[in-house]
Amino acid sequence: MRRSPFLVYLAKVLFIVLSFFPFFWTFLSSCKPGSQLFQVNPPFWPQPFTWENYRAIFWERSFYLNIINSLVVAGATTFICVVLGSLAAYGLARFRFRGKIAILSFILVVSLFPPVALVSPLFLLFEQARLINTYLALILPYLTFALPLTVWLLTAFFRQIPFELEEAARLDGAGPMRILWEVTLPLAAPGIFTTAILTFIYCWNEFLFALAFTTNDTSRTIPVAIVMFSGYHTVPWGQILAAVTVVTVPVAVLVLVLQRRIISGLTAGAVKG
Amino acid sequence: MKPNSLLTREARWGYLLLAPSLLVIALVALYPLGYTLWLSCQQKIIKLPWMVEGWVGLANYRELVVAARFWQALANTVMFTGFSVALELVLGLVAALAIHRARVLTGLTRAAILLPWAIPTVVAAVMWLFLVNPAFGLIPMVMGSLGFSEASRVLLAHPVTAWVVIIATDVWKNTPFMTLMLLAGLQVIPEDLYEAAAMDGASSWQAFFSITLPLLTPAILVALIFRTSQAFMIFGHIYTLTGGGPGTATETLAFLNYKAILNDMRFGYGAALSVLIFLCSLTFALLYLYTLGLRAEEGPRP
Repeated sequence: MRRSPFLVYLAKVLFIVLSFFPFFWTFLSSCKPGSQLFQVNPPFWPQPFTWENYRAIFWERSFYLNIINSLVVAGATTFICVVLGSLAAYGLARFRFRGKIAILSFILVVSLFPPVALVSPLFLLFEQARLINTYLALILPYLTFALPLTVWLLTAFFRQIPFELEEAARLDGAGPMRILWEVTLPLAAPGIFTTAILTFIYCWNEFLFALAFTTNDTSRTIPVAIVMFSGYHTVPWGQILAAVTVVTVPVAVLVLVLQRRIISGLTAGAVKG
Repeated sequence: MKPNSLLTREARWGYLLLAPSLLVIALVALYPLGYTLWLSCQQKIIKLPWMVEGWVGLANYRELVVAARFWQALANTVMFTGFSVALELVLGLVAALAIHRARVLTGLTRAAILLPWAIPTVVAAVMWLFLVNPAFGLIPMVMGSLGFSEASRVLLAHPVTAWVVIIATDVWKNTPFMTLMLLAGLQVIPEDLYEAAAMDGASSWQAFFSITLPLLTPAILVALIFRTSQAFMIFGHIYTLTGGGPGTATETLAFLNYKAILNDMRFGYGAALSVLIFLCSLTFALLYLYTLGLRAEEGPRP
């Protein structure tokens, strides 16, 4: 493993530059006036710098509604998943019973379900129940991938918590629910937080269900709204790139602040030492 | 505790705690899946209400397997999955080794790994769509200055280059995830193994092939199966970048399925295709289970 440090350094720098460049270019382009954006050899820096596209997506379009939709759907799904998932993970991590392997396997299989396989029945069911364009039409299908993920991650995190404190509480006569509430959950808080972030990101990014079960501008989530910006004849690139920047900035901040946590979550369920 | 009693107090609590989650999963995932199975044997075309609805047996499946478009989509999906996952594995391994070798995982590197992963697939696809725009995109501009101006004008209009763009977008977005998984695998390999190998006079290549690669295999397998099952369901890139075109050249199974259901409103036919896709994903899931070896995790840890 003793390769020349220069090559290693170069690979690392290249990796970082390639990762960031599309974001950088998107941001620069979103601040260019239309004349420069659609120029054959576009200038590198915007001249003059303009926020016009940002104004347009919030004042001429109702992009803020799409942001609210995404927040509500991802938030509600995450909340439901964390509550139900904590109970399930506590059961899986701390109690001995038959069929546990079968249940864990089942949960894993469901988490790998192809989303498109659920579209045709859910569309018919939602249309019958007049749920198309409602939050519920997204929250329900999101549970199919988010809940297995939450249970899986939380089980991995709960298993890392030392057993002794719960044992002590049990000997003091506390029941399982009290132990969960007063001992396990506070200890598991960092893991629960990590799980919540990951679940939120997965819901926030979902595209297929959101595309299938919403039909008007005001009920769309961010990814679908951005794709739907284009009209039949014109593609408002400036606004699309501005919208991309607007939704990427919070993600970038989240990722910068919580990077260690997110990495521990991503690798928790998958890699066993 | 009596190991043979059917329901101990502990087991009762276990089932009780799991019940709400399993109930919800059964309701939102299993019930629709059963419905899909039933639909796949039905004639149900919402656009053509005069067509008689009802049981048609395996007719939808029969129609599917004789359609050239289905086989093309299947071939496309397999080709895309193979190319993009292989590229991601190689590039991810190189990146992981480089980052691991440099020892410090700086905040900047971590952000470079996480940012492409954290954004929606279609947002990544939109950024790349802009980069390859034939009139004012950066990539055609660079290609033009290198003397490939003709090819650069038709990037998404030619099947081969359209696939190159789709694969490039996927590789850009998912290599970081692969890197992360492999990096986690690298970090659990004990350092003294390399010291011992160096003392025995092993070259760095020998060390790589006899220490790193074998010990990294579990992490590689997990990451591979996870990525493969995801890549197989590719939809967002296609929808955003090419819409399946030119013609039907970049249609994948999930994309074809979506179109059958929501464009053509052929719910029975679409469901049949869904069942086939589901069977493929089940194979990946079983492989994943086998690789993880859940047995080792049985029971609460002391």
